[in-house]
This record gives sequence, C-alpha cells and structure tokens, in this order.
Amino acid sequence: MNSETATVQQVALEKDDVGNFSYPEKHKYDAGYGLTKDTIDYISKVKDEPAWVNEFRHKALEVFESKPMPTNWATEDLDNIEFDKIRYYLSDGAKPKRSWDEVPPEVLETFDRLGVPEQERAFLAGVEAQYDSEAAYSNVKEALAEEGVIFVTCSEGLKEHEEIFRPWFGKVIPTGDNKFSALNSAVMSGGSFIYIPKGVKVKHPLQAYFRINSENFGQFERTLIIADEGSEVMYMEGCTAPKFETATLHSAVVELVAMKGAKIQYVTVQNWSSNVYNLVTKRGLAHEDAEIRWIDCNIGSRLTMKYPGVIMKGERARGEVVSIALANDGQHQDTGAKMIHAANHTTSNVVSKSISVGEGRSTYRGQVHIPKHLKGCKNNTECDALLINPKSRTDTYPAISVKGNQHVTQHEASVSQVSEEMLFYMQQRGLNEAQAMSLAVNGFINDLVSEFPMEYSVELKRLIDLEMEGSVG
Amino acid sequence: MPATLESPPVKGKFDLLDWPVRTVENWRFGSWKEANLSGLEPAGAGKSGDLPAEVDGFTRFVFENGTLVSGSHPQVSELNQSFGPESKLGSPKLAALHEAQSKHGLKISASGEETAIEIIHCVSGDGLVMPSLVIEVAAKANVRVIERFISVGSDATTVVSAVDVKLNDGAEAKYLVTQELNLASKLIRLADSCLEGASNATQAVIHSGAKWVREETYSTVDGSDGKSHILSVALPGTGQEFDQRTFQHHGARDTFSDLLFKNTLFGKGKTIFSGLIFVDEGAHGTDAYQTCRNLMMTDECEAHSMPGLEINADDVKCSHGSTSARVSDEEIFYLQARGIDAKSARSLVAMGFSIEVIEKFDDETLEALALDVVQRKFESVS
Repeated sequence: MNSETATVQQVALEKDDVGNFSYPEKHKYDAGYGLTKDTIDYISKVKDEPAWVNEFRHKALEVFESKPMPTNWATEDLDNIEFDKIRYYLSDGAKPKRSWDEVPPEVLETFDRLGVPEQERAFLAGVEAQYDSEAAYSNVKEALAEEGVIFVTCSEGLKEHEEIFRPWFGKVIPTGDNKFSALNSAVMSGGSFIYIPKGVKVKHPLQAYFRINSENFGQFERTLIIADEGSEVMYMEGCTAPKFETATLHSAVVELVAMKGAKIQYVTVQNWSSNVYNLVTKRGLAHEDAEIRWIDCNIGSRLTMKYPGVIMKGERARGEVVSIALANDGQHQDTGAKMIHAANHTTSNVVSKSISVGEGRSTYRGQVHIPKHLKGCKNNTECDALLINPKSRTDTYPAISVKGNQHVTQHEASVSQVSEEMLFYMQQRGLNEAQAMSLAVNGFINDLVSEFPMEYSVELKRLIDLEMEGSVG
Repeated sequence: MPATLESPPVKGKFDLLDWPVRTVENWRFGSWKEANLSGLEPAGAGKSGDLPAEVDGFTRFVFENGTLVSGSHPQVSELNQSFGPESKLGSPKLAALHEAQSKHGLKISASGEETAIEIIHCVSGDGLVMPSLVIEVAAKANVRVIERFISVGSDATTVVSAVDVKLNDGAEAKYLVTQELNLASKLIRLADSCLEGASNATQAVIHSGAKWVREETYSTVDGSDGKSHILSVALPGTGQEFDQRTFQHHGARDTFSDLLFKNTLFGKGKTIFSGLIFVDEGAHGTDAYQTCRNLMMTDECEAHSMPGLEINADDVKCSHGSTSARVSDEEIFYLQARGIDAKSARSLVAMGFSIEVIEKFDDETLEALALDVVQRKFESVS
C-alpha cells in the first residue's frame, strides 16, 4: 500500500473513531442470485413497502420476463448479460466490504491525478459504504427544508409522501416502456425523490451525495423529480472519478416532471468501471412553458445504452439534451436523445459529441417526433464524432418524423479526425504529439463542457486527458 | 398458364423466408403490410399504350408486361430469368420472389463509348410484373441508361424490379429511372451497384406516380477513386407513400459517395428515408455524404428520415444532414413583391428545390427528361 492510500484509510479510521460514521449492520440483507417472485417479496419485506408497491413490482417482473431483448436494433453484446448470476438486492450493509488492497492501483492513481478530495476517495473505491457529507452540506439542507423542498430516497418518498409521489410515479416511463425499465420497476432500490414547491428556485445544485444514510448509487436506482409551477432545480448524479464496482448490471429509471413554467436540469457524469452494463431509461415530461435539460457525460462502463428524452406536453415547452461520450478500448457508448413534441410551439435541441479512442465504439441514436395538427414545432439536432485511432468506430442512427408543414427540423452529423495540419501546427509551437491531441480534443468538446457546473468541467477536462493518454504517439 | 405464388417453379429460398414484419428495423415507419404479395399472380399479356417521345441518341426497348415488343442493340441481350437479386435492406422474401419468378429483362454489356439505351416498361393488369436489368460496363467504357415505368390503363399492377449495375476500372455510367405508374399500382425496386477501380456512376430516380414504392438502393464502392452519386426526386401526393432505403458501402481506400434525396410532399403524401453510410475497417480516405431534404407543402403530409452512419476507419470525411420545412414566408414575399401570386410562387420555389437535384445529372438529355416528369407532376397537383 502506498503512503497516499494509507493516509486515506487513516483519515477514515480517525473519523470513525470520533463517531462521524455510522455503519449499518454488515451483510444484513442479500436477496441472493437470480430473479424470481420470491426475490421481489424479499425486497418488499426488507424495505417494508406498502402492498401497492409490491404489486407494482410483481407486474413489472411479468413484463420483464415477457419482453424480448431489443437485439433487433441494439448491440448483441446484450445477450452476454447473465441475469441468473446477478444479485438483485443488497442493502448497504451487505455490500462487500473492500480493503484498500483490493482496489486496483490505476483507480487510486486516477483519484490522485483528478484531485478527488480524500474524504470522497474512500467512498468511491467502495471501501466505505457511505460518503459523509453532513458537515459540509448541512447548511444547504436546512435552507432547502425551510423552503419546503423534499429531498429523500425513493423508498422514503413512496412511503412518506405518497400523495405527491404516487400520481407521477411510473407515469413518465411506464413499466412496459422497455425490458430494462420493467426490470428496474421490479427490483428498484435506491435513487432519489425530489419535490420542489411552487415558485421555489433552488440555488445550489442538488447532489445524491447530500443524502445521508441512503443507498447512493444503486444498481437499480429509481429517481423521480417533480418541479411544481415556476420552480427551478438542478440535480447532479455521478462523478468524474471512476466508481469502482463489482456488480455488472446497472439499470436505472429516472423520471422528471416539470409543471407549468418549471425548469429542471439533470446533470449526469457516468464513469462506471469497464465491466459494467449501464442500461438506463431517462425521460422528462414538460408542461406549458416548462424546460427540461439533460446534460450527460458518459466515460465509463462496458456498454451504456441511454437515450434521455423529453415529452413536450404543454405549449411552448422546451427540451434539450447535451451529451458527451468517450469510448475507449472495449467500450461501447450507445447514447442519444428522444424528443417527443406533443403541443404547439414546442422546441427541442440535441447536441451530441462523441470521441472514439483505440477500439472504442460510440453510437448516437435519436428520435424526433412531431405529430399531426401541431404548429410551430422546432428541432435542431447536431451530432459530431471524433475518431482518434485507425480502429476507432462511430455510428449515427437518427430518426426524424415530421407531419405537417408548420414545423422546422434540422439534423446534421459529421465525422472527422484531428487533422494532421492542426497537430503539426501545435507541435511546431513546442507541444508534443499527445499534448497537441489532448488540446484538440478538449477544443472539440469545449463548448459542451462549459454547460457542466464548474467543478465538474474542471475534472472532466482532466479526465479526458487521462483517457486519451497512450492513444497517440 | 402462369404459376401462382403458392406453387412457384423454384421452391426453397422463397418458401423458407417470411414476408416483412413490423419488428424488422429496416421496415421501421414503413408499411410492411404492403410488401406482403401472397396470393398475387404474375400479370398476363400486356397492353400497348401511348409511348413518350423518343429521346435523341437513345435506342429504345419497349416491354409490355413480360414481353419485349421492340428494340435491339448489339450490346444488349434479353434475359429470360432473374439474375438473383439479394436484399440486404429488409426484403429477402421479395428478392427471392423475383429470383423464382422473373422471366424477362435485359442485360446491357457496354463496351464502347456513348452507348445509350432507353427501356420502357408498359405495365397493366392486376398482377405482378417482375423485370430484371443488368448493366455491366467494361473498363473505360461509357454508358447512359434510361428506364421508365408507365401504367397502361388503371389496373393495380405490382412491379417488382431488380437491377444490378457493375462498373469496371475507369468506366462511367449515368442511369436514370422515372416512375410514372398510376395511383393504384405499387413498385418494389431492388437496386444494387458495385464500382470497381476508378469508375464513376450517377444513379437517379424520379418518383411521380404509384400508390406505394419501396426502393432499396445498395451502392458499393470497392475501388480506390471510385465515385458513386445517388440522386432522387420524390413527389408524393395524397394516397402515395414512398419508402426509400439506401446503403452507401465503402470497401476500399479513397472512395467517394454522395447521396442527395429531395422530397416535395403534397396533400397527405408520405415519405420514409432511411440511409446508412458504412465505412469498412481500413477504408481510409473515404469521403461520404448523405442529405435528405423534405419540403412540406401541406399540413397533412408526413416525412420520416433516418440518416445513419457507421464508420470503422478514422481518416474519413463523412457527414449527413436531414431537414424538414416548408417554403419560407420570405421567399414567397420576395416573389409576390415581383408580381407573382402566392400559389405560383410556392410552386416556383418547390420546382427549384427539385431542380437542384436534376442539375447534378450533368447531362442535358437526362436533365430535360427528368424535368419534364417533374413539371407534369406539378401541373397535376396544383
């Protein structure tokens, strides 16, 4: 163990000594391998859920089992998921505890180079079950509570705030939407429930970190955010540092509801380790004059399939997806956007940039739908792909349906590589080839990176440098 | 006695395959039910109809359904069976149907300069007409081909046409298809082309008639410096649906392809465009472009576009674009200010929109012919 990690562990221990950490009982709840009706009953029992939730889970299981794998359009790598070998529920206490010795040295090095605060490292590496953020953020939490903001786990939400939770739960993404949303509905655990009351504008971005004593990054997390009339909120999930994981399947469902004039921004930075299947369904419902923005960055995982969507249900609603994907050796980033225009004068914008390094593959899949008898809908889609090495791969599969002549849509995609001239120019000015490449790549995504909150964008740039390392020269 | 589909002369492939179904990705948004031709029998003897004016410099061949009634040329031979088309874009059953049942067609083996052939298919009867066309262009040879589909009378004829174009090193081909079937008929067209060496092909289609068209264009550029241009003008009105799927395959270094499809939609017209640029591993230096533009003339028309890219090499320039919009108010205002009424102004702008594709033929004879088809369609809808 190097001195750096020793210090981290020491810090963690010291904190424990003074009683700042509360560990749940170890290995308390484990639903075992495989998925049956009993697994679901077990989860419901452990979580002490109301009957309607248990019933909801059982119905979802039936749907999951009846739906075929979407390999008619998606990658066949999906067939490699062994559903019988997955543990569908482990409560915090049952998460396998790791020692620092088990954490791969490259992960530790990455923490170092990204400048991740030491307190966070222990949590990210899975050495600690929770990340203690109470002290740092208690002021924020207090302020939120005063304004009537509800920010709890999904399990708490469905039990304690049923009157707000239930009318919207499963409404934006019905169980039967796709095979993996059904799987999530059957075995969901973790995730957040957020309610922003009318007119409240939350100043600070909310992060899953803030929540105390909760399952943070669940395998099957379920998040529901409701922004009431005229409110505003930004939510951030994930982090730029690699999250070391042994579980191989992550299937989350995120539903956003923006009432009249509300604004929701949902920021994701995904950096799962490269053995993880990350199959996520995310969709928002925007009422009159509301705005939903998905800001998405995918760097990790083996296969990510994620197409954040916005249903623009009210007039003048607005939807936006801004996405960055980086696919390295052995990775497939299959991301995109779905824009469903369901009212007059709704506008949507999709900007997607992907970088394929080594043998990485990045895919954009998009859908824009403008049905009959609407007026003044506008969509703009731009996807740009950058290929770094001769075996890098990129695909683009958009689908745009327009009915009627009162709309404007445009779609544009380009594929390019960093030009020799550009590299030569920079090398002449004293940069080596790798530095020049990194500068060019950062330039390619620069305008999107600036959409992320400041601390994220700084880390993102460093992270991309890190990923690019060794791919050139 | 013509054989029915229930007892085709060549058993096997056709019987084993299924008619298209909704879940096949290549039929997304498409009317897959229209492609189910079970129960249809080949149309009987054809009728003669009014033929369009002769085209200067072209040798004319006329088919009435399955019978060649006129035409001869030293470089053209008659086919009495299908060349066996393949469908890589969702219709293997239809390709197998053609393979099993096509009994007529032409093979053009162009070997000199200035070979110019015009083929007219006069179709009639409520049945199947399944012509074949093979165009083989020898090294450094040059050919121009016009293929026209015309209905005689108002029967609901189903045309299943298969085309195979092959260009050798240094060859050049210009191939224009005009489709002016009646609004009860259907056309299924499977068009493959393969460019070897530094050859140059321009393939264009003008779709004016037919109730339903399914067209699968598969272009392979397998030789360095090969250039493939794929063009289409489609003008669907109420009761018409054009479903076009394209594939631009780049299998060698330094290859070029450019696709431009322009649809002008009237009434309740519907179009589906699905295109894919596919660059093989190692096909560096590829330049590939794909553009699909939809001009929406009414509030009831419907356009679906699926422009796609699959790129497996890094030193490439590829782009695709797709737009859907109507004629802008500024353009109308500009023309109105010059004394042209709004209706004529709209049609003028729309014509200009199609003409941009036609100008890319770079051949005055073909351009004039295409323009004539487009103009007649505009007159009939306005």
